[in-house]
Amino acid sequence: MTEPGSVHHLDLRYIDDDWKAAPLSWSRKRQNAKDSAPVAAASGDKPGDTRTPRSAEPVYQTADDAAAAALVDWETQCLACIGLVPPDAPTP
Amino acid sequence: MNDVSVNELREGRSPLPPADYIAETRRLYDALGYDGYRWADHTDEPAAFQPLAKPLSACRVLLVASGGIYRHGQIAFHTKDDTSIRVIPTETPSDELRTAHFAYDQADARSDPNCVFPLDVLHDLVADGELGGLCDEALTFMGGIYSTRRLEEDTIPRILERCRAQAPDLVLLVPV
Repeated sequence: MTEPGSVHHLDLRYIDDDWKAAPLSWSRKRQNAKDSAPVAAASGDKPGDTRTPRSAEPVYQTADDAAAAALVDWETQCLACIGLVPPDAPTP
Repeated sequence: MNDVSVNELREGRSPLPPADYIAETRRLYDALGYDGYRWADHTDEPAAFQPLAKPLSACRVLLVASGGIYRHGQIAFHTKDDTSIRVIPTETPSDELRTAHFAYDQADARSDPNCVFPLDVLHDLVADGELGGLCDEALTFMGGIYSTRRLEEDTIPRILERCRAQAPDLVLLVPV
């Protein structure tokens, strides 16, 4: 592509488009599928706020990731992690 | 809702309707009892887009993604207004990429990180001659930041600084 206005058609296939009817509802659907107690309102103070709770702790995809990251030397800082706050820093 | 399928689209029929995130966001906030979602307004600032000065095949591309991608060995993003960024070498194998986010279903992205961080795809485009090359680094952040001010004052300057250091011809922003 070297000119504006040209389009490349990709051979993609989506499962279905039903999600477009409620694009922000996936977290509510996931919660509604559980039989556990209501989600803690970490995303807001409003009752009935079923958005996914948020946490100030890093959320690792796997335990192995967490173990590897635990080796990070906060004194020299992770050069690839810009803007991180050390875990023992005072809360602003 | 328009029930036109992808196959119908390929046959030249009506295009699929987009997901109405604006209406859905307003509805959600209204339902929660908030005063109303306040959108960031930059209409008084000039658009940052510029026409390409050279063909794509000669362009060096910087990938910037907001899907919370990090590399194995890096500290993962947290989900409470994390304004940090990660620098990911573009030679990183896809099996070393991870995601940390709260505002989208990460199952597909964790199965194939190219869903939110199309690094393999970009490499293929370079190999095919469609793109001139990739910058040595790609930049990622966790886009679920509720504070517009912190995004503008913390995250964006960090991205801009690394972006300018890479001096790309083109930036590909992959939002989630």
